Amino acid sequence: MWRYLVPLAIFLVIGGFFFAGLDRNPNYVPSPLVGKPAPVFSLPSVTDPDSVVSSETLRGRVSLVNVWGTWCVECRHEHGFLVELARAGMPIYGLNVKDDRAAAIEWLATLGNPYASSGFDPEGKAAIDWGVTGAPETFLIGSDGTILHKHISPLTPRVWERDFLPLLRENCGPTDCPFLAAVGGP
Amino acid sequence: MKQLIWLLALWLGLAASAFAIDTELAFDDPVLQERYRSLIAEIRCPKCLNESIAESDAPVAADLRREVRRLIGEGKSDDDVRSFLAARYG
Repeated sequence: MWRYLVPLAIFLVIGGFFFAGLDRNPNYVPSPLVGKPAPVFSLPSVTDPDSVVSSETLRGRVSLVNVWGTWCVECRHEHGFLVELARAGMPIYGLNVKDDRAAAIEWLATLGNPYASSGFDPEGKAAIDWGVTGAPETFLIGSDGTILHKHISPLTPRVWERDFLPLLRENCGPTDCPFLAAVGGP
Repeated sequence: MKQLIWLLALWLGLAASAFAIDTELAFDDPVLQERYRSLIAEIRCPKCLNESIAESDAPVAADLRREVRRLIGEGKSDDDVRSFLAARYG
């Protein structure tokens, strides 16, 4: 009797661990920045080197900060959805990392520009302050400048509905997000 | 048998040298270089969690090595470097 039960019990325990591990993402590292004020930064704009994109630019309204670069294949993948969100009125700021300015301008000209403005960070200095591990990454910033959420990997409609919309509904004051109805629709 | 052991030793030696991405000396001062070496061996790469930033060739690991080098160069302590990175990357 025990000859059969002991291996079975061991199998069930190990199987239980494997089963629980199936849905867990080993690459998930929660950002310590969530719930804290967005890092202070000040960068020249990609399209207009004379204008500045900074922490001040983000203040006063709910917005997205999207990390991108023309070297980033997955950024191309999410770009269409960003353009769609921007068209619906969602303010999106870009953080262009380790890129070539001419290539970045070319990218925005061909694929469309969803960004209110994009900071140009060729050495990835500001990216380190934002705890950026790669691209694409997208931050949701509250109107007081607090980071509400960080998403690593392309932003898709599914992720938007699951992670971003509930936070938007929770954090938008009555006048903060005039775009909410438009971006919340299917 | 003896040949086999030699072969294994050679292979391990090659494998170990292959792990070192960052082979250039960062500092002329051996004390600083040793602190740098042990910090980058201790800090995990945020993109590839089973590697340290010394072993990883992910772009973010190179950036973080550069930051560690900069902070040590500015005279920051090991704990300052750790808390700088922990505040950003957890």
